[in-house]
Amino acid sequence: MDVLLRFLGAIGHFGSVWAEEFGQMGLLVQRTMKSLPRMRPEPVAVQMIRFGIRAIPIVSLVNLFVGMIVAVSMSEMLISLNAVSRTAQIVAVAVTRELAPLMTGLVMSGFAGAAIAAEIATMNVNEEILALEAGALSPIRFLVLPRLLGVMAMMMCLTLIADILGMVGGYIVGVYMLDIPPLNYIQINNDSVKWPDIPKGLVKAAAFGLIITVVACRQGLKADGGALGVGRATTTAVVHSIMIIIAANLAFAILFNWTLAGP
Amino acid sequence: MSRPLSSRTTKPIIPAEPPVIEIVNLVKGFNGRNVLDGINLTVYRGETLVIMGASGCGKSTLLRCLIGAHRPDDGTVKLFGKELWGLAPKELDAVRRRLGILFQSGALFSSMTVGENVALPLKEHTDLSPEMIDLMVKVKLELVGLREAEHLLPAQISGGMAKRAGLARAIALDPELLFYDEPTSGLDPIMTGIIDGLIMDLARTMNVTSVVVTHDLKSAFRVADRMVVLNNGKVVTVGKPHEIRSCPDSFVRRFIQGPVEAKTAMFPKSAMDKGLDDVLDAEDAAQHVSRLREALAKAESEGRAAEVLRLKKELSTLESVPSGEGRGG
Ligand SMILES: Nc1ncnc2c1ncn2[C@@H]1O[C@H](COP(=O)(O)OP(=O)(O)OP(=O)(O)O)[C@@H](O)[C@H]1O
Ligand SMILES: [Mg+2]
Repeated sequence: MDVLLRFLGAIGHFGSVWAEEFGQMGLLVQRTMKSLPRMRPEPVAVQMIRFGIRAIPIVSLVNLFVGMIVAVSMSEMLISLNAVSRTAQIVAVAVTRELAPLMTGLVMSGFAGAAIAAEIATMNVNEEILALEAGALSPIRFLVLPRLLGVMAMMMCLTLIADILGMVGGYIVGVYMLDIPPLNYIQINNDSVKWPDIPKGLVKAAAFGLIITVVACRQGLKADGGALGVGRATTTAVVHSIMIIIAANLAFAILFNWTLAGP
Repeated sequence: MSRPLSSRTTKPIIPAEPPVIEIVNLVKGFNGRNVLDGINLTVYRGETLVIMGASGCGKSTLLRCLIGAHRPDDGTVKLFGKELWGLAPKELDAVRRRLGILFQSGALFSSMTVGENVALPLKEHTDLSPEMIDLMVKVKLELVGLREAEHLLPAQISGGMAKRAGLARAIALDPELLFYDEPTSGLDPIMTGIIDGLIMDLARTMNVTSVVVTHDLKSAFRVADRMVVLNNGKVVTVGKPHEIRSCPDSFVRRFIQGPVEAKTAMFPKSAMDKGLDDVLDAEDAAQHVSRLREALAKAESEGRAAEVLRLKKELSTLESVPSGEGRGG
């Protein structure tokens, strides 16, 4: 009985913590949107370069490998079915529909989310946030808005790059390791990409960008307790944004595959 | 407190105007402990109020309450006659635009150069042209003696420089009300004099209302029109410098006259000197031992038995002394 009560209590606590967390993040989004009319282009561009351009190599590499992994791991089954050229189809669909946005989101949780959380948390413990507020400068408009827009925009661009490199990965494995004729591979690849998957992937990418930035900014803005607090904020930001991205991805999968398309 | 006339008679006090700062029964606690426990204070236009109190007694917390960064647990804080926590965000910003604050840590924006730090409020809150802003930045930095540091990042300057840069930023918009959290801590005596002079100049020429938190008694008495001493979250006494000097309260007396006596009481001179002597002794001894070892080796190689015996004996009495590398471990 006691154990059960304690278990329920733990669930209740967990629930209320997350409810509070989501409430605060919703508030942050709302306040950020309010400052949208006073947006300036240069700070957004700065953040796009910081978190977008610099992330191209790692996002490319990860998605190239992911495309290759899918091709390699499907090959045995496809060979036994005597349909090895279908590798192109499987990679194209898997990458554009799920893997490119998801992997890019996860990589960017580490790449941008951690950096944003650490940066804002450091500013927080150094009283820089307080100094902004005391100077009638909104940290939301100054720090959160440019990062949010920059990361969302770059998530979409990076996901496009990821789409291409994932398919390139499949091509490398299909053509050079499974001996599928190149033109054949490309033909099947192009025929099997469901073109609406690309914009749907971009919607997901933008949503993941929102999640990454809002979680990171929230953790940074509530950080306290010196260097320890900065470390805690950074870890929490990455862990939370990975969890929320995965959950959101499931929600998107249900929405796009069942609800919008009909089960 | 009776009517707090300024000690400098040149300052006009307009009675009809509300006080610049009005703190009534302010209570603020952390984790169930009341750091500020019912503070009442009023500051009038053009006045320089110095706040003193032991380290950790809540002076910085009080300043944070005054800029609306901490929500008081009880009581009210009014700036320019407006209750801070009753204001809409826009109105609060309007109030904040009239004040400047120098944080204890300087709190410079670490991603911007010193010059950009000072320029930021000007860029955001005025319509000045970039050339004009540039000029203003140079003027403000000149005032705090940092002209040559304009293009350095906060990480590249010293603590005292960061503090002065923070001061330059705080006065960028020529505020009517200035909060200084330990403006001269970490500064050399000459720079302390310059900063004290700047605080007094701003008060005198621009009629700035100032609240200065400081541990430096010399500059406190130099700049203050009135002083307040805090202890245990309460105001122990408020008064003009000469009133504070002759205040009978034992805490205030200890605070004003204490530093010298307290220091000697806590660290008797003999003990401090002894500590230093120990360090020097250890250093000397380590050198001495290594010299002896060299001599011993030489004597052994040359087969001078008596010498070897003597050196060995001397060394054995010294070996208990920590050697050079082991010192302090
Ligand atoms: N955010 C906070 N959370 C918890 N406790 C706090 C917080 N801020 C301040 N305190 C506590 O309040 C007390 C007063 O702190 P404050 O920084 O105001 O002291 P101070 O008078 O400015 O000291 P100093 O002269 O050393 O700067 C301290 O005991 C501190 O532990
Ligand atoms: Mg302090």
